[in-house]
Amino acid sequence: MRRLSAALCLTAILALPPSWVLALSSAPLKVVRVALVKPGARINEAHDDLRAFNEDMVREICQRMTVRCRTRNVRFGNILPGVVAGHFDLGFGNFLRTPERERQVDFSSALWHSSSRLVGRSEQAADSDLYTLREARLVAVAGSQQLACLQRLTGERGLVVISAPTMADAFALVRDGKADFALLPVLGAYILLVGEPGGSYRFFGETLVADGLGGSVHVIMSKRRPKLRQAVGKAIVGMRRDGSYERLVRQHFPFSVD
Amino acid sequence: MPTIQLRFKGFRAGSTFAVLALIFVFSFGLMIGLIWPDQQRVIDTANRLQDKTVPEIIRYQRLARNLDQLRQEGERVFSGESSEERQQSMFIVTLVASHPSVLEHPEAAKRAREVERFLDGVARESASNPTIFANRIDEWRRLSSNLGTLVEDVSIQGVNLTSNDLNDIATAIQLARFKFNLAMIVVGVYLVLFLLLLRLHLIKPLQHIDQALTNLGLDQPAPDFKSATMSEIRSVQEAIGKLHGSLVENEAARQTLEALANRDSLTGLYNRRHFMAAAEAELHRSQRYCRPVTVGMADLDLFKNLNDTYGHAAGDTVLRVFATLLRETLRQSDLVCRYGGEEFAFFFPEITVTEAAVLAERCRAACANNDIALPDGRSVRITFSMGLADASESTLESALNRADKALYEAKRQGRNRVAVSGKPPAASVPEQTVEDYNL
Repeated sequence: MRRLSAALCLTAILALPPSWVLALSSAPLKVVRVALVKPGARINEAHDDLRAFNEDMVREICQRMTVRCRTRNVRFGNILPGVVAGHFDLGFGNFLRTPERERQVDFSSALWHSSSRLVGRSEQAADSDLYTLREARLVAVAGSQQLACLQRLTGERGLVVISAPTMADAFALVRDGKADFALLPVLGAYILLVGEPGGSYRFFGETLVADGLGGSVHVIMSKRRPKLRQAVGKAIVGMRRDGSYERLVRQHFPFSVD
Repeated sequence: MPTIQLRFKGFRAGSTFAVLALIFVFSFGLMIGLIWPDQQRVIDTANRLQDKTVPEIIRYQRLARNLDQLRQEGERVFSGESSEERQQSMFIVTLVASHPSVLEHPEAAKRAREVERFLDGVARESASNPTIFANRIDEWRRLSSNLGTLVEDVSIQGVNLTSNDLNDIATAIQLARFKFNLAMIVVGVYLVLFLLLLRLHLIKPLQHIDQALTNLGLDQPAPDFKSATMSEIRSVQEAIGKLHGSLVENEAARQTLEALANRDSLTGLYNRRHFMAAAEAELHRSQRYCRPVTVGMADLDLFKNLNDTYGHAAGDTVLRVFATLLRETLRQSDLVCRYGGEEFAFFFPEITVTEAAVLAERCRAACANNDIALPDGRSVRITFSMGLADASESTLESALNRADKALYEAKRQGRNRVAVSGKPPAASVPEQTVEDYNL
């Protein structure tokens, strides 16, 4: 009788799909492939902080989801297509929520809030503003909302729009005099400016929130993974509730990004 | 024209209780319906508190925190020891003033923009004019004070959001509690009313029915019920009334049958069987208590001639009239029966033969003087002869035999007379002659 039971159990196990057998035998943590925005060349200590902040955020969320995350640094412009194509499960690139993106991917609950501003050398005209500039070269990160906004303005008022792979590259173009202004997220711009000599660079114009240039920032994921979206949302809510989110921010920045 | 009689037949218990149950369900449902919106209001408000108000409060807290940071960084711009330090603070001022949470609040956005412009202007001017910080410190203090006030206002606005929701919940709960208490009162009143109705229309009538059934009997009058409201109770009451009526009718029928079985159909006097049984019982009683008792046998004189002359119908009439005369003349306690044909037997309790002879003679005289109207209009007068015998010390049969002999003697002596038998042989009393009593 025992032999018969053992044989039946073995047959049942062999009939199961391989993934089930694996789950039954050791129940390992699921692997989630995470695309992390590539920060570009090192600029300053604050720049390292931004990288560390993103990595810590990924680690904290993955830990709360009880999954093992395998991260890969990719350029911002490659994150969303990678997620859509299924190469990545999660995309950590501080994505603003826009209708166009919502059609392609799912968004987590808000991580923090962002807006955009022009950054340029201090000697630029103090009253420079995106919507009044003329005959200027503007740079933004490829695939970003900022670049999309600038591209809508291409040709108007003699504006020239340049695309850069990372924020560091965009700022480098300004620093090298190859661009007059960079349209960047304020937090990213702050990270880049904070290590520069005093008075060399400054923000210009009004804070930009409309046209998808500001608002809440999210993690993106495939539309085919609703359970993953729920798990990420639950992890973010948990981080906010127990204060670990705020501690993480304060650990890396002298201000609140929330 | 036919008349229609409307008679209230009462309410059916099932229907009545169904109606009461429906009223109860409706009332209670109505109460629940009244309470439900308040419960829903509490749930909605709690959900709103969780889903909207709390995030809104967090948003206000975040705004207050950012504004406060804006103020602190502004202070650092003024108090910074180096241009790098002031630049660092200026960047943070810009960062905070550009934060969407600040921009969402019009007043905060306006103040933040004002502060940013002021500080930016001061910072830029400080490169050429190092004394500008001292010159414009008062202006900054005013801006800083305004910013501080705004931080307080924003914090209070956030707290007030909670107060509004909590007040809303408290109001809804109080209203729900009032309605719940009202519902409980309604239910209580309904239950009391229900129990009263139950007692009045069901329990008390059932108690009366129980009492009536316990006391139901021929010696009791028909139960008198108050008209019940419930048709079933009313039916039972009517059934009990009918049952009592049936008992009375059955008793009357029994008595009628008994009378038919014990009496002679022509004369209405007892028949021989009943007479013998009743006389036997009475004789035993009299002998047990040593009381005097007399029996008699009588026979209508020349009755055959009467039948032959006037017909049997006349004979029947004579017999009926004679029986009536006997009933009227004799005592209530005396027993008399039609013994057969025109022959009659008598039982006289509590009197001696002498006394019975007086009584019999009175009867004989009444008969002899009575004209009997016949069906054909003629009238006849009849006589009878009677023999008496003492039965106080003999059997009924023996006494009747002796009375019969005395009757025979009376007939032999010429009819229309009463003859008394002598004492039974054992008593050796000399027999008296008929003439002695031929009064």
